[in-house]
Amino acid sequence: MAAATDDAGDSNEMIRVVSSDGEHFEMPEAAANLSLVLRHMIEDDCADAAGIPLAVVAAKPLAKIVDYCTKHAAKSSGLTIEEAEELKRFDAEFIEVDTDMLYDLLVAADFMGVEGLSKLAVQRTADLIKGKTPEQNRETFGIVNDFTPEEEEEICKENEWAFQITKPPSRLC
Amino acid sequence: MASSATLPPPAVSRDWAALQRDLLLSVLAAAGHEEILRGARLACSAWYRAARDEPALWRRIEQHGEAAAPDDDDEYAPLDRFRLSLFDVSKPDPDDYDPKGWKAMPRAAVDRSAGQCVAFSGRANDKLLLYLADNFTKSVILSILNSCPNLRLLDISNVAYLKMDEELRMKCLKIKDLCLPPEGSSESDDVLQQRRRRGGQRRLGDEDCDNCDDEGTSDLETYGSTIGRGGSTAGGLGSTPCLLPLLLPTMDGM
Repeated sequence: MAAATDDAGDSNEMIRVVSSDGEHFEMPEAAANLSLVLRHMIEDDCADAAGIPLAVVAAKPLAKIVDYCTKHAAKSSGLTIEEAEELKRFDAEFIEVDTDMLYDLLVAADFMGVEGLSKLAVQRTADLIKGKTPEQNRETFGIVNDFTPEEEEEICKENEWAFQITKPPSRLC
Repeated sequence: MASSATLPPPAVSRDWAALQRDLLLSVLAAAGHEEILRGARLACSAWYRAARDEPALWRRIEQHGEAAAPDDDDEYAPLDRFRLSLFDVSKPDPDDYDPKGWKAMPRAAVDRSAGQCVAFSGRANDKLLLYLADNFTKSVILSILNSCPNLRLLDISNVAYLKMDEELRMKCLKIKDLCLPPEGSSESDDVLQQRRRRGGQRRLGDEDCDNCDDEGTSDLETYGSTIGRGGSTAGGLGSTPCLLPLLLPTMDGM
């Protein structure tokens, strides 16, 4: 996983990045260009042998992001229908991750400006929300019910006219 | 130290409740309004506030899927008689029959849009249309008045179904040239009653009644006409905050 760093000076071929926990990765420049942040760094000649430090992206999500970018950069233009479908399958498998990794990908893709991955992670999160009650959403995402009494009252009030909660998800109404 | 020797490295805690606001809003937008109203916003305080405080989230109100599909026995009873069973839709109470929530949901969504709604597609009965129109046009006109303190000329004579209430009248006091909608179009309830008596239903934005169905409901798709520098006149802006093109519903011809 860790990349060798024996190449001196800038390389037009491979771009090195360093995770927040100090692990090195490399990917083709075309792949790095899928990240807005990396592209700007490359344009500003900041991509050197030491690697571009990504202070808020840990090794685990970064490895996934490098995978994603490499795959998508290799198949960026002139896709046949089969290739497009293969890429779609890749995406679908790629994003089958637990909520911790999903969270990391969501934040990291946004930070790095990888648009396609951002959309993928956002959609995956939205899909996890869909069809769930508040309580199920809390379980899925590990969040706690922290409504203040004022907010509960507000919710109950608006529920009076619009929503009849027959099975309160928690303490609400 | 000893206790942690056999444990995997501690995972950084991912707090979904503390997910940065723009990401959370993207997620909520992707989940859709039905999901937000039904479940997501009630998960925790942070999600609730995000859904409540971000009118932009409600700019495009679209009903898809189950709630947009016709009920078997759509009656056009007044919207406020209906209630939505959010968490147990399997046992609809005959008196509170809105099993799919298509009547209550758009209204809740419109409330949250705080006048920023620019597109609505979904189903609506006549009362909801009027609710949309009142709520929407009033907020838009209020936002014009509030953001343009030097406004001297306001022509809203072609805006149908605008209720000129006390708040609007007060705000309009300092407008020199004021063209209001013709009397009669301001009494939504009367108009509603008239239309009820006629049994009229109408597809919003159409000039005639060709597309009426006989269930008292209409498919609704409304896109705005533009008020801006080149549109409806807003004179005397001077150095006041820039009046961006504003969208008003085309509610005339109803």
